[in-house]
Amino acid sequence: MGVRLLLTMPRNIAVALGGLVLLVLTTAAVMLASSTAYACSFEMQISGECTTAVVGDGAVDLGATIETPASSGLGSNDNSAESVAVEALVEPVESVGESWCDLQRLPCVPWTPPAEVDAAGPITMSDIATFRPQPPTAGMQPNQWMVVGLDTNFFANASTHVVDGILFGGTAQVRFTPVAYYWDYGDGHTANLSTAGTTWAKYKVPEFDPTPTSHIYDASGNYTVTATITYAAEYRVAGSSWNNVIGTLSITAPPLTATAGHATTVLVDQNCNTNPTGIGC
Amino acid sequence: MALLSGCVPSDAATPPQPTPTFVAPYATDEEALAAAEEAYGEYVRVMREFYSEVPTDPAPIYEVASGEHLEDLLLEFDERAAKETYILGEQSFDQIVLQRYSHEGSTNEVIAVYLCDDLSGMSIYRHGEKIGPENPVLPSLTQVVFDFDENSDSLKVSARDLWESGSC
Repeated sequence: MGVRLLLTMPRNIAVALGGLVLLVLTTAAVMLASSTAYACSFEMQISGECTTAVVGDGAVDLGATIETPASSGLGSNDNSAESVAVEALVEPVESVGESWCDLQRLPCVPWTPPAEVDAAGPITMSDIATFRPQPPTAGMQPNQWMVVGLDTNFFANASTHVVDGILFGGTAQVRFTPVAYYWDYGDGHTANLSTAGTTWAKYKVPEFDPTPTSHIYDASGNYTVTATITYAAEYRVAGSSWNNVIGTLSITAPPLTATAGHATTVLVDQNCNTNPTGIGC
Repeated sequence: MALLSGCVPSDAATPPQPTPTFVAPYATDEEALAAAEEAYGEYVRVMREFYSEVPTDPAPIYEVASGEHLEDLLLEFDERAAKETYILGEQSFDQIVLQRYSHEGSTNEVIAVYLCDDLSGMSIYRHGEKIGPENPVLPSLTQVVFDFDENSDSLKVSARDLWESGSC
């Protein structure tokens, strides 16, 4: 069974299973799968500039019921959250010490209890719906503009990563691996690619050179570019080897908006960077 | 009598070569945790040395960090070189517990741990003048993820995320 997960914001979930879906996120799954942890540089940490991404007044326990109607299949841009009803139950603040203890009771070693999935048959994407992969992002060069007739370099920021959570009442891990990249360039052209692409610098090619993920616009105008990344998934429990999850999961990155224009080549007298007032600059 | 010899084409297909699969060199969770503790200790030592003066060469970072964390540190390196700030003082950590250990498959995210990281003894300086912190820094619960670098046969920090601010 294929599952389509559309993200407009990191915490905005819409799961399409072909009908009305009632999705219950367990306490531990939410706590593990949501990104409570966040990166912060040493200097910012010492300066006290790092803030905590906790819910409400610092509660660490969250129960939620999310109802959403189905959306159409791959390629849909229906990211609307209007019909999503969310009830969040936020418990009183716990002390940091209690939170620390809570964390140590989570799937640290030993795992308690491991999920019993053997009797449940093949695992599908719907079974791991509470394991939320990291949302991908899309990038482009030049940033938010293109030159008509020249290559614009697009790339997706998505990588293999592991998400901890609860599967059939036990601790488990799911590993998401990006396997396909669908681009809607906003000019009527689309592409299904097998590579995420990267920057011109990392390709070690000059700017505006073609890349495996570049695209040429034929007309000036404003465009909205959307990347949808398809992930394969594997799961494992209690230190077992990785097992395939049936189906794939497609996540749409936040769209890029950009303007295409024409560029003209002119002869200049000197280097315009060092002498901006030079003839022709 | 004549002897005939020659080569006869064989229908037997060449057996597929096994794909090398990474297997981490830690037999138990305890060994993995001990390796992670040692690797993070080395990370702290290198970073403390690296931060103790205005950085001019990012090479030490490559010895202890990888992946996105390496990219973040390199960005920070550029910023700090421009701002000419440096950090002095002691950093320590304790309460390390294993979050997960991926014994085989990929060299990425082989080990993840929680630990309590204490930067309270560190201060930020610029041109000999202390410019921070304005308030005491509390030890922070931190999640650290390690990649295994097969070239150096060692663990490198690929993610260092604060789980929640405050004392731990």
